[in-house]
Amino acid sequence: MPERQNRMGDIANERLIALLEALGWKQQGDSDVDIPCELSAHHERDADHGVDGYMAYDDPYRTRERGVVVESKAKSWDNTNSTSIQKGATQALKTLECIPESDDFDEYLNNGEDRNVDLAVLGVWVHNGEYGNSDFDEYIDELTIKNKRRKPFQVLVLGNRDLHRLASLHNQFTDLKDTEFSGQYESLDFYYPSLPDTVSQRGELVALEYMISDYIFAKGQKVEGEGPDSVSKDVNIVFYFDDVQRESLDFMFKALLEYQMTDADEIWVYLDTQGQTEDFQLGSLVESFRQNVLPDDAPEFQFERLTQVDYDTYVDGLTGGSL
Amino acid sequence: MTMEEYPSDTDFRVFVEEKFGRDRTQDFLRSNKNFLVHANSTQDIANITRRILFGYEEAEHLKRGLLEQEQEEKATAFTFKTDDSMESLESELSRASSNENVFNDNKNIKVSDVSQTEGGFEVDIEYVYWRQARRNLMDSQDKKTSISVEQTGEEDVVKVTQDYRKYDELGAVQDFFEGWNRYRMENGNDPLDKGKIVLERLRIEDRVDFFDDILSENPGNWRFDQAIKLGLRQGDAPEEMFEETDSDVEERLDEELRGITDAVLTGEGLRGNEFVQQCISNGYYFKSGKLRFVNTDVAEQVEIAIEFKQEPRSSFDISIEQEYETVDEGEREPTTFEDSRRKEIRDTFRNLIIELYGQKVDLPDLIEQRNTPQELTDISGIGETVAENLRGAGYESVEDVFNADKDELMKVDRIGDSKAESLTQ
Repeated sequence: MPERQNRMGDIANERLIALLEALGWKQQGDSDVDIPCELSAHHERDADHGVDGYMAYDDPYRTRERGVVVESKAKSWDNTNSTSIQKGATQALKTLECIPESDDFDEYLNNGEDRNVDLAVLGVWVHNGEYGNSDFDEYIDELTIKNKRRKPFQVLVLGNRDLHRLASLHNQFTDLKDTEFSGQYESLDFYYPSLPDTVSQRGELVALEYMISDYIFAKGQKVEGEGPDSVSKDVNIVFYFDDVQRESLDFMFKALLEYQMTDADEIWVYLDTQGQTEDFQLGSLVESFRQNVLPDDAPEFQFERLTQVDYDTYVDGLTGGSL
Repeated sequence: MTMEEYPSDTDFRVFVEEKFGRDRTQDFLRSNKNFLVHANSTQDIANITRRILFGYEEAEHLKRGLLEQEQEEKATAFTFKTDDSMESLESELSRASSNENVFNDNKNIKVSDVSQTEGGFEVDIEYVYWRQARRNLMDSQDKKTSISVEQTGEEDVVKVTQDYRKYDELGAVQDFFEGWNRYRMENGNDPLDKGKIVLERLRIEDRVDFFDDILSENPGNWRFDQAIKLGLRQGDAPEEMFEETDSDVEERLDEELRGITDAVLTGEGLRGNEFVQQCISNGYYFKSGKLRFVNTDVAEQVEIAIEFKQEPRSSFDISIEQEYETVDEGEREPTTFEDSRRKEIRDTFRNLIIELYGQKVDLPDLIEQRNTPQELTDISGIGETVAENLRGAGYESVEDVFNADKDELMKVDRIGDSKAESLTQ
């Protein structure tokens, strides 16, 4: 059994890293590298920190790249509880704390680069038993992270629902890119609007902040027609993860105004309807939105359901089924 | 009410920094985003929050949380020194009210009414509250608040008490007070000498004893029952340093709450707890507490939050976080008291703090003038209850206590090993 569990752990780790790579993060160094603990405050100097993975991405909000420690857990639902998740979060946090002291980390994983390393992603993949969203959320509610350094640290916990969601996001994005925006003069990128301290950016990256946002913006350019009669169209896209209700769609429209996302020929909204009840009527909801919320001069809105994919099979597909 | 516009990133930043605070935002991100953040400051967490695009449910959740926070009534107070009588202060403000004197131009602060009370007078203040607005640059709203002005036990010291829900009410009173002093000076009167109630004005060794006194005094039949949460702040120049960081100390403090409670209940006092001793050696003192008190007369229990602000804020806040009815065997069930009862309880604890603080800030003067405490309650760490116990045991004077045998002294109720040690040294 332990051997099988280890194998599941390896697979979970490889899948998580593959998903994050698909979302624009780049793995640095090898997986499963042990970094000797150099921090006296840990009182465990003989122990090593096992780093399941270390990744980096070009942070749209800061000048330096962001370094991210990846910690993966594969679990059966019976063994998933706040204590076991806390253990993973603490493990990830301790690695983050130790990293600034570690020459080995800098040499083998960070390659001497100057990065902000203040984030860990803890993937908790439940492969066995019936995963309960609300139970999982309750487990997270009980977690604490208190670090021994006077630095801000962050740990993002990704459970099954989040992993499915991110896989579905990637699937929808690549599908659009391969079909609707695949022409020579066509493009599609995730879009980070400018903030008072940052300029707007485009790219294939899904940064941490987008992973936990209810709206993810993308901008595309599409060519319609051929030859001299062809017309270029700006299409703004929203991947939407809030509740699908009238007030919520209304609020999304306000967000689009705030971030000048209505400045396009068309706006396509991909709604994550995973959590909706069976009697949910997308058609009438969209109609009500069009009639009551959209001003006359608004661009054309199209609403689609976000195609749902299974995280494990999808990511295995990305890696050529090698896992 | 639904927000009219989507909040900008600046709105989110200001919201977190000025209103919602670090701890609540950390809790919010954990509960709603499965995102655990350890931030050192509100700026850190505000920067994280403003970059996330929140949907309707969560934005409304944040707004509701703020409203709830602002709905909780808090009691606060400050003091001032003056040679003027209460009557002359009251008539001065009555005149200003009749003349529609403006105490602050931006907020258009005026006194709308002055009425006599048992121990002094009450002042109704009207003001304009300006807030950031999305459609106009600023929106204004006419608001009111009131303060009670009463003589304290000391002849020239007057206390000003205020119950408030929103911070702008607090700010209006601060601005009113500054305007009152300007008004006095324009009319040839001396300004009122404001006395801040902040821990940092106490000698560092008195700060923990002051908190100890709050827990030991049993005001209005409220007996301290349990410390649910304590907050620490570190002062200057610690004698030695913990190896641990602030967060370790906070973590250990949480673990030690039972022991700290026991130290108070057994009469040893806070200093009787080894961890508290360590904290004191490292320059830490208690800045806040969520404390449960049990009423010995009626079947009531309350959880009271006391928080001492740091300068430039000049005071402290007291709020009732939860009320209980005591049922069988000391068990409790959550309940809600009448507003008047809640006010009465807040008043009781507010008066206690003003009184105890007054004792502590006077102490250096007393020592300087007379070189030794004159009354039992002048001794650091001795409140009225312990002084009564000492008198009951035959220790009538300060000399009696200082010359006592340590073991004998420990037989007195609420005098533990460490307190006896410090008294006999």
